[in-house]
Amino acid sequence: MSRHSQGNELTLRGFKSNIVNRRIVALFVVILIVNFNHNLRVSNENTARNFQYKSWQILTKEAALFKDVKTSDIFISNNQNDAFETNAGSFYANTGIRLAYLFNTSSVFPNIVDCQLSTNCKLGGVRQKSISTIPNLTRGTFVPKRNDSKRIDDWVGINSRPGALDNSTIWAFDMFLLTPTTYFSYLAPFLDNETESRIDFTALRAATVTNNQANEFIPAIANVCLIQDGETKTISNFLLTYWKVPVDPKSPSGTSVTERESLDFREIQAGSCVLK
Amino acid sequence: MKEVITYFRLHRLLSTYIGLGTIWVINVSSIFRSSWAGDDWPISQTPFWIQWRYGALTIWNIWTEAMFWNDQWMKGAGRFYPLTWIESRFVFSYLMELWQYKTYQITMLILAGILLVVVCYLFSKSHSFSILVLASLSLTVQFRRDFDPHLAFAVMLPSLLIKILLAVILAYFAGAERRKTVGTVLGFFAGVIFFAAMSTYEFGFLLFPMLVCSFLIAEISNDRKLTNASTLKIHVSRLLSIKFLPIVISWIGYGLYVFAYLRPNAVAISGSYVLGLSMSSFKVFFSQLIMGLPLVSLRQGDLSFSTLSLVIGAVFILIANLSFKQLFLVMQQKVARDEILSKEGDRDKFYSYFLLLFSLTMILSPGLMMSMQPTWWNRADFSHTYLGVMITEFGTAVLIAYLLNRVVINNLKPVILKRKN
Repeated sequence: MSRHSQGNELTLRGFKSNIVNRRIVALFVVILIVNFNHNLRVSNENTARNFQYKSWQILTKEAALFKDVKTSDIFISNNQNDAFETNAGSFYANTGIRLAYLFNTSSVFPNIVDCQLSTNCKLGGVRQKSISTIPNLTRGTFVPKRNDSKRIDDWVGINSRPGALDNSTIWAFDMFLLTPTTYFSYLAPFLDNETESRIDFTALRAATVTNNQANEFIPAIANVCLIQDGETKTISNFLLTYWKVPVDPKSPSGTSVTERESLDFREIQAGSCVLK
Repeated sequence: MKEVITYFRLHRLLSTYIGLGTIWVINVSSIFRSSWAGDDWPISQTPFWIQWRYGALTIWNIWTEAMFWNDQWMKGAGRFYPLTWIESRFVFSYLMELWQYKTYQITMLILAGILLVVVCYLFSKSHSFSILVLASLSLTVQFRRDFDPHLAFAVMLPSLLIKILLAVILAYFAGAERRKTVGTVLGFFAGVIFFAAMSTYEFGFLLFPMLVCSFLIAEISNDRKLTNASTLKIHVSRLLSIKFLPIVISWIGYGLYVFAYLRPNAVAISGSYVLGLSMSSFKVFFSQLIMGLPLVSLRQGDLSFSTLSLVIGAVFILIANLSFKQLFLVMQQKVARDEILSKEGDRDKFYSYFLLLFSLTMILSPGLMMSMQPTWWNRADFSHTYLGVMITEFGTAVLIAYLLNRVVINNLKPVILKRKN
């Protein structure tokens, strides 16, 4: 204010105008902080899928769950979604295994919702259904132009040729959040059967990724508690645990259950058992 | 002595630019907290699909895939925005990690903001006004909970704004250039970049008045005889100049290609791209006018502050206070000088009209577009908006800065007037 101290009236006017400008600055700062907080909140709200995304990366880049899977095998999954990372393209980029496709169950069995086990409805053989769906795939497609028009490396085209997938294994596969802190995935080969879609239950392998330091429960499949088959810390400090079907199966309530070698695909329901 | 005063003035301006620029960067950097959002989820998977289907992610494969989808949308929906296909495909193919993509998103938005500040400086030749634009951007840019152009949609809107603002800058220099040949060359480049902007998002077509304003402001700045409104009419007729012709050709050319060729031949125009008018159009239009106003997207719970917000808030208080103190000192000196020279006149009024027209183009056009789309008639309201809202935010920032500038100057005037006595 010393700059404006040449008279009482002058000092007063200078003071008043500066007060207004100071108020403008104060209002600016308040709005700025509230707006920043709002922007930060909206950004954070957008991170709901982060754990799923990271778990998929761990599963496909670090886990040994897919060591028996080979090129041109087929995956069928209830939770597969092309809109997110759970797709054949991302699987290939991360694992180096070029699947014929990672199908959503509804693509192979469009009637699965109406075809319940309880009504003795049969799904039919998985191999023929999935192989016949391959030529209709449009993902990643583009029309080759000019000198590329004779290209033969269209993976869908290659796999659509007669007999191309005869030696492929078809796998029941899934990946989803079992709890907010545990991502669960299983893999089991389908049995070659033209009338039913059954999996080899004894060959089922599963993995969990948890962002806790320890597992909080044991996963179960089809009412059978799995047993641990090793665990490891991932690069991002998550806990990756492998699971398999025990020789002496027990239900979540702890009672022994009949050992089964195969399961109908629709029986694969995940659950949990208490840690001992 | 004059050099010393100029040195201190520049020093103050620079520190204010840096201070408020830092606030702008910090504000936009909150994007880092987000994940992939909206369409970015599926688009980010495209390179993996190309790799899976064709064995390798080559430049040719990426290009061909982008062109394939552009072709599909051209023939199907009659839309023409190939640059979005190309940019998004290449960005997601080479910036695969989330932090890389978010860095790109932030950089593009920061750049769009800086270009707006440059444009406003060119128009007004006033650092205080352009600094206030920079400050206002941090108030008007708000992330949205439905369709958000800041966090998602493959940086389409910042990319559009960058191109539009570059075209505006070139149109300005074309208008300001006295040599016809050089001016025409600049106009040609402005036209090319404007075409690229429309080819990024068709929305750019509606932003043509921004280039008109830019060109005319530059023309006016050339004319020392400007004294009254009739002279202004002569300047408007200068839009027929050969320097502006490439921009007009670009605009009309794009319009004819899309509306006279592509759309009549399109085989599957979705309901979202059919234009119409009803009473609901007015409701949609007016609801979208205010979407750039500060805090308009605030919802319940947004006033709960995290520790990070409070810490950053304290930093903002410090930076804003220091920056505005410097700015007001500079403005005070400027007001004193202008009062003595009685500089403000018709010319400033004309600048103001065009500046307001420039900002209103940005504020009004997104609402205008949505009001003509039946798909939005029952969806757009005071809390629901679409991607064009980013353009409204930028336009609103200019308008707020304009009003702030006038208010602050008026507040400074009495002090100076009394000092003269």
